[in-house]
Amino acid sequence: MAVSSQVLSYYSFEQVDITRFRIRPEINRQKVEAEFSRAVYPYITWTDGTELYAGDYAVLIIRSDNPKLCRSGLKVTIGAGLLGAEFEKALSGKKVGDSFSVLWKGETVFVTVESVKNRHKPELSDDMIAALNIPDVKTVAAYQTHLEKKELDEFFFEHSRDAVGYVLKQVQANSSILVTEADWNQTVEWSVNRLAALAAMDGMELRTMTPEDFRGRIPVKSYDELVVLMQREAWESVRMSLLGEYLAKQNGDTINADGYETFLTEAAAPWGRTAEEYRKAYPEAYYLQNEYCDYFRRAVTAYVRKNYFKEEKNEH
Amino acid sequence: MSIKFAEASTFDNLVREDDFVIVDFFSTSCGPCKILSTFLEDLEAELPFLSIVKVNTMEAPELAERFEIHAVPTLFFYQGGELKERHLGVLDEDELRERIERYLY
Repeated sequence: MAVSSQVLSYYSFEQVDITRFRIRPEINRQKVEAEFSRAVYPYITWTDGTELYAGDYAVLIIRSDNPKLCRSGLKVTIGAGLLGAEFEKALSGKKVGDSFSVLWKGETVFVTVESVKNRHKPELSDDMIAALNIPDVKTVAAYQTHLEKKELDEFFFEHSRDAVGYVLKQVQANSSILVTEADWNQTVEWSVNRLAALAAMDGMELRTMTPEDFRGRIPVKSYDELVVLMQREAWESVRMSLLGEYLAKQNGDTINADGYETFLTEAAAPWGRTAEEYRKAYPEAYYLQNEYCDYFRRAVTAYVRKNYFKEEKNEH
Repeated sequence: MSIKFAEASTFDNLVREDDFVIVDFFSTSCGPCKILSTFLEDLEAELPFLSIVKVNTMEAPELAERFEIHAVPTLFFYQGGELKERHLGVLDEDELRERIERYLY
C-alpha cells in the first residue's frame, strides 16, 4: 500500500509561549489624521474669490525680460511649496488685479493675479463617514476606532515576523510529519516551473540565466543553486500544507480551489499576461497546496496577534 | 481638471487636454498602485488644476499593449501633449512634487 504524506502527531501552536516577543503597541497618529483628511476630499469645493489665503489657488500672468519665464494662466496653490517660499510669501494676501515683482528662478519677474479660487474644506461629519460604506462604520468616532485598529494591524504586520516565524518553527519541530519523496519532488517541480514561466515572460530562459540575470530577482547565482533553494523551500511548503490540511480538518473548515481562476487573473495582470498564460506557471494543485499553507500561517498569525501586545500598564 | 479615467478611445484627447498631464497605469489588484493612488488623490485635493489620467490596465488592455506596460504602477508624464518621462513603480509625494515643479512650472 502506497504511503502518503501526512501529519503523524500535531503540536498545537497554542502551546508555544511568545512572551519574549510581546511589545507595547504604537499607533501612527499622523497617518490616522491623514486618513481623516482624505475622507473630506470629495466635499472640498472651490469658489471664485477676490483675495488669496493659504490653500487657495491663483491664476497668474508672469512677465519677464526672459521669454522663458513669461507665462499666462499659470495656476498655483498657496502653501503647496511648488513655486518657492519667496514667491508664495509674496502671493499671500494678494487680491485679484494686484501686481508685484518677485525673484523667481534667479530672475526678477512681474506678476499679476488674474483670478483667485478660494478653497472650502468642511469639517468631517458622520454623513461623510457613512458615505464611505465601510461595514459597521457610520460615525466619526467609529471611523477613528476603525483607523486605529487598521494602524494597529499594520504595526503588528511590520513587527511580528520573528514571532510568527518562531511559532511556525516550534510547531514543525515538535510535530511528526511524514513527507514522501514523490510529494517533495512534485513541489520542487512546481516551484521551478513557475519561476521558469515567469523568467520566460521576462524573455529569459531559467536554465541558462547568468549571475547577472539573477541579480535583483532571486538570491542565487545559478540554476543549480536555484534548484537547491527550491528543494529547501518545497520541504517547508509540503510540511506547512500538511499542517494546514490537518488543522482545517480539525476545525471543520473546507479549503478548496474556488478562488483559483480569480487568482490567475489577478496574478497575471501586473505582468500584462492573461490567466491562461499564467495557468502554466501555476497549476491548480500547486494553488491548493499554497491555500493550505496560507490557512496554517493565518491561524498562527491570528494566535500571535491575539497575544502579541502588552496592554496592562504594569506589564514591562 | 482633476482625476479622469481613460479608455483606448479617450486616451489621446485626455493627454492633450492640458499642458502637463500625469498618467497612472494601474490594476485594482496591485498593492503599490493603491499607495500611489492615495498620493495622487492627496495632490489632487491640493492642486485641483492638476490633470491626472488613470488607466486600468485590466479594463483597457489595448492601452497597456500599445504602451508596452508590463508591470504596474507605471507613470507617464506628458508636457504639451508629448511623453516626456515614464516611470515604473511608486513615486512618493515628494518625488511627484518634484515632477510637477519640473514640468508645470
